[in-house]
Amino acid sequence: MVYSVFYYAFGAIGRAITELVLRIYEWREAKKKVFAERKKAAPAPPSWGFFRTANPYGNYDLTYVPRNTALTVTIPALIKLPVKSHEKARATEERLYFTVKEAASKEWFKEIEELAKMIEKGGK
Amino acid sequence: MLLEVILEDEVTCPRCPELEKILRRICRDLDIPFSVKFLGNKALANYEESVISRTLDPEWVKTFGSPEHKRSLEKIEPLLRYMKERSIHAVPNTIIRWHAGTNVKEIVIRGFNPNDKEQVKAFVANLYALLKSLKRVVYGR
Repeated sequence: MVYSVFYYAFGAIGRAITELVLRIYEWREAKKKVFAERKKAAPAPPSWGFFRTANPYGNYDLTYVPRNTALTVTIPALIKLPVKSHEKARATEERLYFTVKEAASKEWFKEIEELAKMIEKGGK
Repeated sequence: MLLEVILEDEVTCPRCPELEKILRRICRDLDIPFSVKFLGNKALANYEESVISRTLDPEWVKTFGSPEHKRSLEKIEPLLRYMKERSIHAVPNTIIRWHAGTNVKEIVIRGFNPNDKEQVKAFVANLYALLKSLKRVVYGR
């Protein structure tokens, strides 16, 4: 069965138009998604006030971080405070562990730098 | 305090007094606050030289440890879990703590061996250099 040239031409044009419409639709949907994700981004944790901080004994303490000074006050969480404390800890305490053998080696400073970079990347 | 050095000590620890003398001298030279924290009778002497002794927390090793750490964890994990549950601490620990903005940063150095003179020399030199540079960073002088 032989179709005319117009048949094939209209078919091609129709396919091209539907593909274009679909692509435009997909692009708009993707754009909407990006904007929605941007709006959903969680607010940054507060930088001062009362915070729950873990202690080495498995419990938690309440630490007050002032707004403009570096002086902090830590109290054991044995009483109910009349003020609100933040559940989320502030920026995590950065703690690096070494043995004396490592600390006495020449490459100790390099190791500190590498570990500090690793912490910045979130342990990756 | 913006920059401080803390020695975690135990009364029966035979290697702690030597380390205390060294730390006191360095801190006096550099004018950095130094304090000794006595941990009580739950503390345990810390002489091990294995890489696993970087931390006493098995979870830390599982998430951040190198393949070498993870391999040695197989043997030592029950012991680490026992120590964590009973909140047993190892001594001596040298803690260098400083504040960067609102963040607290710490370097913990576990153990000390006064019999190895060369190691002690290198350790003191490294520690002096580190504290001097940290002082410059924290106080700006």
